[in-house]
Amino acid sequence: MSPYSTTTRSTRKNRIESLPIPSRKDENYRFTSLSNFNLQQLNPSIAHPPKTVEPAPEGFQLAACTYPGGLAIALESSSHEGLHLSPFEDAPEAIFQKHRAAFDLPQALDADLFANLSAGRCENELLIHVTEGKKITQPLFLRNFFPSTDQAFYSRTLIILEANAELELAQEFVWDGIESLIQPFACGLTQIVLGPGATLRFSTVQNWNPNTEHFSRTYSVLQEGSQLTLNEVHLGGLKNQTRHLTHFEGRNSQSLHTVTALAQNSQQMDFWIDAVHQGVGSRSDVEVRSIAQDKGQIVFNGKIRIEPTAPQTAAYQKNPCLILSEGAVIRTLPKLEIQTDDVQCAHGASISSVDEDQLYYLASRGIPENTARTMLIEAFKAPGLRGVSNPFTKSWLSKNLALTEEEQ
Amino acid sequence: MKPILEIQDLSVEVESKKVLHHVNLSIQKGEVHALMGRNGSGKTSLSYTLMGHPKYRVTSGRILLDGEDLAGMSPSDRAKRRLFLAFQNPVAVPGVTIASFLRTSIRSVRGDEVPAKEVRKLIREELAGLGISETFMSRFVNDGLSGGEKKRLETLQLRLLQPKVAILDETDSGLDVDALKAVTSRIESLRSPDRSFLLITHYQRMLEAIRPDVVHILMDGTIVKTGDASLAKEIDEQGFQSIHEASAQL
Repeated sequence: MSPYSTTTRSTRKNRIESLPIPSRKDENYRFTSLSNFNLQQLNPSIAHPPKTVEPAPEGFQLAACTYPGGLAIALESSSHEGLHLSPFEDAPEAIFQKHRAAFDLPQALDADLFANLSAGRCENELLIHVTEGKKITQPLFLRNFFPSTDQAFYSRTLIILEANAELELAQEFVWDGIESLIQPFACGLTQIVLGPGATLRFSTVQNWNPNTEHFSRTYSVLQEGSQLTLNEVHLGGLKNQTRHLTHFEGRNSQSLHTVTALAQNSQQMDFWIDAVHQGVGSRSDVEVRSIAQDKGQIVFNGKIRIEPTAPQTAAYQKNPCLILSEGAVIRTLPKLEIQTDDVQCAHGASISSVDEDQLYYLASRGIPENTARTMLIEAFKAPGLRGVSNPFTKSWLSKNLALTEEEQ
Repeated sequence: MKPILEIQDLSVEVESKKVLHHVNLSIQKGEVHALMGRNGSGKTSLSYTLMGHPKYRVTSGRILLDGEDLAGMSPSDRAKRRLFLAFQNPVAVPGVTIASFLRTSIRSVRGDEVPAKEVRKLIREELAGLGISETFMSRFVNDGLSGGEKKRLETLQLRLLQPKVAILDETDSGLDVDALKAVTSRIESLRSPDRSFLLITHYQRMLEAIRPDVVHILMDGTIVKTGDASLAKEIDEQGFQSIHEASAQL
């Protein structure tokens, strides 16, 4: 057993006790209300492995299924040369020693209650490691399964790609579809470490039970010349608070990050995305596409920080928003912190409803208004596939975004 | 004979501003009418009203297409009755590919008339006729297209949707000589005893390629003069000023 479980978990459990539940004053970025939030009632569930495990979508290989209190590795590490999949406890000593810091919580998340909750209460952490120079050609699939019988689900995933390694990964967050009176609570932490020249293409779909309170944290470290492509789709949950913190440590490291969020009924979604540039010539491109209808609420709090060590950085954040109902609310809060010259930096937001002139144009070609409206909403969501080249990933994301596949 | 398009005493306002006053116009099957006028005279307002733009409110009069009153009819229902408007400045629709748009439009307007497997063949033939590459189909509707490409796309739709009445709003503007020739020849070839046109233009040059049967002059939202093709030539030579002065004296 690695020393991880006896040190980090207990450290983080102690840290949870010292951290207050953040108020809106502490975290002005969010809509999600944490009143009536009782951590004592949210102890980790006893493991209930799913009775049946759905196969991965076409073209993917199921790698692991995480569920409250448990983790099932579906793929033998030996099935792909250079790939290691295991619980943290079974991490090879060499990997653990090399990336010891990553097995703990980074300093930047030390005061983050939800990151501590994941690190302290999750006892089924998943390690994915790809060795130097290895390219895993088959896209892998991770499933986080939250049955209606459980109340709390803590998960943690550490993805490490050594130098020049390559991986295509998809992850879904799903429930069993059975209505229950339990108010589910999901708390997840994902850490990504990309070695020099490594490439990770990572797509996620969050489609929890509509009553779920979901808090996720993703911390990424990008070394020289590494590339991270992230495509996220957020559909489910009652409250959904998602925080990304990316450190562009290495020269010419880059990320392309696209979020598509649909908040309907009374859903609240908060996205807090920070890009911290430390390496020369690094590049971040974040686009959060927000669609709110009914009484849905979405807030995007984006921050670009360019440190003195990172000239020639290019950093962009965009937040196009579509409001489909009068009661829906969208807020965008961009921030720039630039500490060096010779950078390109921009942020922008646009908020609109479905364009009446576009509707009229499509209708003038015989397209019924409802169909025209659907076409325009699909057109708004379609850039959610930005940067996706794998046809299976594209098809899986398209299905979740309810996009009509182009006829050939 | 019953006109295919009849505009009777039509008055229209947009955002409380009166833009058309008691317009009367009647087009028979197979006729080509030209509507000329200065900028701001109401030409585009008339075309938008005919196509059912929700912002254009008919305050009096009516529009009959093949004897059917279009009042209260949605733009898509008008299109399904084979009324077509080629826009002067078609709006960009980023995210909707031309291929998907055309297929949806053809199916909506022509229904089962064109079998699904024929649609692609038909589109390919029309693209070739207009000198447009097939890669054009994967671009977004009017997004990032040049002025000439937009006009070609409008003409492509005109040919694919096979309307009974086509209103072409300044389809000649922004086209170079070669593009104008390509576009007008494709329009001219659609001319038939079963299809009528209302050509909206400032200039004579389009009317040299597609000779109109009747020419109307619109000023300040009112048709002030109607004549044959020679009226367009007269405007080309003398401008609208003389007609403006004559109408002012009435």
